[in-house]
Amino acid sequence: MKGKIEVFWFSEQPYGYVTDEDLAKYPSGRLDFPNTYFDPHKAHILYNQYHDQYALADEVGFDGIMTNEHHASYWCMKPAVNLDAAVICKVTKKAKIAILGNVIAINDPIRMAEEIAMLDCYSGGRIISGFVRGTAVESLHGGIDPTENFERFQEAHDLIIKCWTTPGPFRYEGKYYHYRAVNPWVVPIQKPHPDIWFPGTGSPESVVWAATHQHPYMNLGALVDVTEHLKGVYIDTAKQVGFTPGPEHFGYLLRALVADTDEKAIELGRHFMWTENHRARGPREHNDPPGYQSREALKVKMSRPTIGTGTFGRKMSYDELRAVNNIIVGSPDTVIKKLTEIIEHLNPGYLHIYGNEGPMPHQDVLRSIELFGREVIPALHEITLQPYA
Amino acid sequence: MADTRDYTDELIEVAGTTLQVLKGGSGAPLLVLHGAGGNPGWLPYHQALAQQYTVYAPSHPGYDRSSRPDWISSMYGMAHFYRQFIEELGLAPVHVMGSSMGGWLAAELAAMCPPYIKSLILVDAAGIKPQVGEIAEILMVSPDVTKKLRFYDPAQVPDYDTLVNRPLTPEEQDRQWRNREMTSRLCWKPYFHNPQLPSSLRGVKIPTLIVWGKQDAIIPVNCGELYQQALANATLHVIDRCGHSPALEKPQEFGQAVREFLAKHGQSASR
Repeated sequence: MKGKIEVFWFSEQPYGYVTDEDLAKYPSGRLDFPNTYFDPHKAHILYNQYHDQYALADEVGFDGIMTNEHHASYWCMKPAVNLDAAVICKVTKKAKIAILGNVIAINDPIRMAEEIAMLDCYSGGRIISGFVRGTAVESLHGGIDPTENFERFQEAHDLIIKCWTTPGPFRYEGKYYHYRAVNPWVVPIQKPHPDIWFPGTGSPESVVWAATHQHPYMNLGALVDVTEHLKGVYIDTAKQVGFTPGPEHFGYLLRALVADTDEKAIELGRHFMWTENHRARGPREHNDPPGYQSREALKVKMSRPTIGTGTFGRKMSYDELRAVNNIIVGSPDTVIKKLTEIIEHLNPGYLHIYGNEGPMPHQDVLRSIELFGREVIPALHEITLQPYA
Repeated sequence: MADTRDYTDELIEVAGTTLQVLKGGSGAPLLVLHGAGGNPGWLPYHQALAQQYTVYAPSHPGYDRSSRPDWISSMYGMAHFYRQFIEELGLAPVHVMGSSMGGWLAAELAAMCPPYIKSLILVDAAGIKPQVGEIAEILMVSPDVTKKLRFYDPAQVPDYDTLVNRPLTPEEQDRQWRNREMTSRLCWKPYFHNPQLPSSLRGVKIPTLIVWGKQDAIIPVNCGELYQQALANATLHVIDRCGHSPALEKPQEFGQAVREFLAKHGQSASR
């Protein structure tokens, strides 16, 4: 059983120049918000700052770096997560690299298998390969019928694993994918293949799917009580499937920032609310098109307040989110205390620090990473994780 | 669904599928194929046609109370279903009228098995990519947006508030959601058209009436012209000051055009 938590750095790599005033002019924050607001020269500077943050996170002792992918999103300038993972491979030496993940339903699965295998070779076997369904916008932007998303996801998942575990050449003819000569030359270092993670924000169906496949489940920032419930669903499903889950099967993401004083951290942390009202704003047909998810999953989501990355439900304020430890900001001592409470309560094997947002100053983010690495993470490593009953 | 007069509403087993079918009238069979929103119910134009024809107005597989077999995931598959429907019910040769997405389905069916179809009526039909304008986005917008695009002037629609604009019950909302899901499966890509359809229709000589609202803001009238070019024996009837649903917005002019066409090509297959 995993006895010590691993702490991952995560940044969505926002394009922090967008303002609420810009966004309010358009019917939605993604598919209708024009890319004429994007300045590639500013992005060049931002990308390099984000890469510097990765390098520092590795240097100061983060156990891993997590990265992700979104499309048509001003708050995530990563439409190609494997490109970002390639950068991480080259600017880091030790950290695990969690790709969370590839939106495999909108991509060619053979190409996915090849790219992830390349990354595992680049990094010397440091890749964790998350697979995601993506938000519905990913499917809409990719031209994929959202009613096909989950079936495509499942078929692509199986085929990618087959590419990594079955010597080529072989023939594959499925429902959505058809190849008569599959023979990827590059295969992963890790055998039988890199660990596969599956994330979710709140849908019990996601948890059940992850547990059914014995993949670790990463909860992306739901409130603690909801997360605890979902963890229970995972444990129950695992028992039905026939394995005993532990902290190695469960991870949790929250927004956190460390500064030299509580006052400064609280002020900087307000950036976590950057364009909070616009990032998922749009017609229901963008975030929940017919056939993308079950009615049951939607009812669960509608029944609770929304948090940072969430789409549905009532919005919570910065102070409310801090009060329930969904956003944790403060001096090292404050953050150690609050994160320890979370870890001892949820007992996750992996903690993902969503540590940067909007126009948060680069130097302050670097300082936060440094304080995490020098002071917070060593303290969190002292916590002994408990087995799941 | 609107509830008017003399028809039955039954679930039947056909082609391995449970199908909800509205049926009324007597005379030669007339198959009415609904559009992307699902079966609108037994409307006045169904009732008018039922005076001279046996009107079959099914809910396509995946719509309303009809089941959804996995194999029907394209309009081509849907056309194969209706070929089997016509065979199992012994309806051939049958008059077929399709509106919007249902018009696309009727055209696919005509290309697939011309002898089964006695005459064809295409009403503001999807299926062909316009050369002028484009088919409006209706899947990534709310139904209210589509509703606004649908009519040239809602004030022209008799009973607009009860037929089109009334609040839906929770059960109707769930049904609408399911219907939209099925439309996504059928029409997502290529978007509401089949690039091969014009070529598939080449040589089809079925007598065809094409009816179009001149100001259709969902499927441009140019598509009606392209259908006329593709079909060897087609007449295009364009109705001015009319949007995407002439049967509702211009019921008298629509009804007259259809009656005259059917009278000409009409009743000989009476059963």
